[in-house]
Amino acid sequence: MKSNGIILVILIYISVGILLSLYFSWYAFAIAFGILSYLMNLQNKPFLIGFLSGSLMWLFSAIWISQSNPSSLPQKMASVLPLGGNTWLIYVVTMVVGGLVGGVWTLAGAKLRRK
Amino acid sequence: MKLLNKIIPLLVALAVTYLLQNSLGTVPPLGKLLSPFHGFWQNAEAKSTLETSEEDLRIDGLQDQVQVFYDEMGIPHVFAKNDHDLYMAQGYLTAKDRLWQMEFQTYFAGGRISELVGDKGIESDKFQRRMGSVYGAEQSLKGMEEDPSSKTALNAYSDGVNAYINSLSDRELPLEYKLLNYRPEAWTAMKSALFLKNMSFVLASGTDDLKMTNILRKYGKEVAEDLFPNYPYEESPIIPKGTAWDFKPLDVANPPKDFVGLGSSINAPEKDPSIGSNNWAVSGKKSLSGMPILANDPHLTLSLPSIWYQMQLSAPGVNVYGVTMPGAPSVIAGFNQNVAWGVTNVGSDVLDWYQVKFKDASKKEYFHDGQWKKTSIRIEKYQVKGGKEIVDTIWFTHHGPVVYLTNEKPFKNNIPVGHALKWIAHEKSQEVKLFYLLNRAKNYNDYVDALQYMTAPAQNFVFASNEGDIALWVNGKFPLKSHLQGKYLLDGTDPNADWKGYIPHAHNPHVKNPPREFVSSANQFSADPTYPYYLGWQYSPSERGRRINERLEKMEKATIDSLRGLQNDNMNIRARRLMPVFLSHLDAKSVKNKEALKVLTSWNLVNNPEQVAPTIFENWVKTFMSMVWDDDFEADKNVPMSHPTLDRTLQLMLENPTSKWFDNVSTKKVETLNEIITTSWNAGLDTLIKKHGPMGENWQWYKVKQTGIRHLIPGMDALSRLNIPIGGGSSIVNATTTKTGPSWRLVVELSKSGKPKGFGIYPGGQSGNPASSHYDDLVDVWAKGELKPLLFMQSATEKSNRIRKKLKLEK
Repeated sequence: MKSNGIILVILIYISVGILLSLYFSWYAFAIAFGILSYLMNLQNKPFLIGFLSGSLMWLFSAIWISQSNPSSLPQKMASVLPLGGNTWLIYVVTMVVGGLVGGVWTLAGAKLRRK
Repeated sequence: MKLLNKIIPLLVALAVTYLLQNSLGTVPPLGKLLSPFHGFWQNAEAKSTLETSEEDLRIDGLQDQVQVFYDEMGIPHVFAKNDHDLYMAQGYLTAKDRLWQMEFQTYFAGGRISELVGDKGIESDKFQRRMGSVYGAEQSLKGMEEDPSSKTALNAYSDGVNAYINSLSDRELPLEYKLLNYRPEAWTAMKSALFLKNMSFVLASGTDDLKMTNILRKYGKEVAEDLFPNYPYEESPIIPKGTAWDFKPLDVANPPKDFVGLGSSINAPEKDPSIGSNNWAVSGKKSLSGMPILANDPHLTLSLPSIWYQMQLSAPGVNVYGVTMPGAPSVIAGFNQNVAWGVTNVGSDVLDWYQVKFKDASKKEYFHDGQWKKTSIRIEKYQVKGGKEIVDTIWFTHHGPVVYLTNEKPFKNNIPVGHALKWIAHEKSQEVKLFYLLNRAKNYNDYVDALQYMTAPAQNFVFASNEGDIALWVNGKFPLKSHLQGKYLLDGTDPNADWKGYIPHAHNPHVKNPPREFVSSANQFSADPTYPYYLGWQYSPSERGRRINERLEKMEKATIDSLRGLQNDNMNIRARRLMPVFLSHLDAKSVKNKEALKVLTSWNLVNNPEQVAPTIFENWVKTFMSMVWDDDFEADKNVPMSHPTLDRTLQLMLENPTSKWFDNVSTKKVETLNEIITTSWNAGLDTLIKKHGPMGENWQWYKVKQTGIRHLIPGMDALSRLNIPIGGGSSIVNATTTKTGPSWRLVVELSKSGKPKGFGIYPGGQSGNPASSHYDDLVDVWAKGELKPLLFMQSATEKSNRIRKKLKLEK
């Protein structure tokens, strides 16, 4: 798969992920990633693709919410969680968790399909 | 092998998801919490704009339309067409801003914290329930449901809260639910009762009968009564001296037999909250406008989300503005078109302990009035987080619950073991009716009529009306007791030690339109010793009351601003009284740190935030008091004792400076008062230097005092406001201490035409959402000692440029 292909796959994953996140529980997007990888027989770097899709989806959504509803919350949460009050770290952690969940499910879907 | 390769990643995915979905110990469920679609990000709330927005909401159960106008502080002004809708809207709107707080506080009150935090909450839970919090709330609820208007209010309020809870999806849950990982449960009238009952825990659960009995056992009655007198040396009682009593007192026959209880030996930490409050009203003769002005500032443990929630509640027959408590219907303190009222706590003794004599280990019978009587039991169950259930049995005598058995370890060190608790908070009560009627009061008679429904916690209700009346009732249900009955632990076998009924409401201390043209209270003695009943032997120190009274006596042409100024008075009259005495005994030659002494002696006696002298003074007094008394009353940590007051110590210094109490019994040498004063100066300064470095900016009063408004979850500093630059202190009119302070300040001037001018502030904000700009937007204004003009709308059609949001609740 060329990098164009990867970008396309990531865009599809993110679109489906956002749509499902609006109506179902927080991990629904990741299960969908797994199903998609199974159906699409995604064998090229599945974890990376899932991780990038999940983390970018969560990062951009978080940024978008913070832009449209600017508040002190991200900064406060960076102290509630032990991040020393570094606001940017709360974005990083959000990104990593979204990526991790997306990644493990994408990998799981791909491995199930693998012969 | 192949199959394993296929399955393992799936299992890993499931495990990762499971771990991120659930809280691990104190770690919140990270996946759920961090998801931008479900977690905390969803709680972000932009600052409201200047434009007015409009919204319509349908709420099942409303009987008619309700109009709500939010002002620029986020305060809702509610206009309903009937009482039911009014209280339903109050429940709904309060939940909208404060749901988590309402629920968390009732979990605490009902002894259910362990359901949220696990084992570490269990001792607190047991303490709550064994003290009878649930039992008392059940009693209250029975009383409240007997009255139709209270029942309507409570049920409509519950329906409103539940309408909001049912409208919430997971992503809309308040932040704290996401952090602690649980969901709100249905609200009930019982929860409101628990909440109201908890006010008695906060305000009327103080008890040192055990500590006094320990003193009795060590030093005997003469010393106990000498060092712990039953009326202060210096006092300015709430009901002015010379006020004639307008009732014929009941006889209180058969005092209990002399009794020296066992006391008990225990060791557990105790909180000592310096909670108090101020209120006063000046008559039209003292005000510039000719109309009465009323002021109130109840002091409580400051917390976020704010203790109070401001509201205007209007329906046919009522239009009232003030502070409500998230969890109970009606306005608790405020004003309407005709009258205003405010509250301070009454420190009377409404909680007594009876040493129980069980027949045998089965605890089925106890001895009372010459015979063995049957105990009853109550089973309490605790559903601890993690699935464990704990079952706890509480034994009751006719007095009340035996809070701790002799082999148990109490949660607090002032609670005796092996004693039954008799407490006013266990009585049936009618507080909802009280506030329902007060909200609608038009004059003095309505106010007095409403007051008879108060049981506990007893409050000094200050009052002013636009008919020109000012008044103050020391109000609540007070047990009828013999003189000093219950100062020490009581004998549970002696029938004469039982409460002998209650003081008739009309006999409660009260005053209307006194010649001095003002009424006031600051938690001090309700009345001087000519009052014919025994209410209690100790109240808050007299300084705030004396300072308020000395200023009000001199005050002419009072305005809202002059009374606001008095609320923020930082004069330290304790220092004014003590400094000359201290300095006269100080041995100037042995004084270390003359620089600090110079700062102190040139002090203007005002506890301003940035001054250093208040720090030096308060520290000196503290060190001095502990040097005088610790050797006598702190010798054995397992036998907790009260310490004599500063008031009694002052009297001793003035009248008996060679008293043996100034000697430190743990040294061979005989210390004198002069030596103690000088040593305490030097030692106090050493401590200050050790803690805060050499004298300088770090010694500024507010930096040392460290006033903070803390989130209800312990340790949530990020959601708290700490280190607030504010002066005052304990026993100062501006009673702002490290954790407590004026939780609401109101000044209101009444008006003949029914348009009172109200000004108010509280240290917090309307919203309970830490992401909202209204979470703590009033804190800085409060700290500066300013008040906000309160919008009191006459009708739903009144125009105001302060309205930011219109909300229509449709049936």
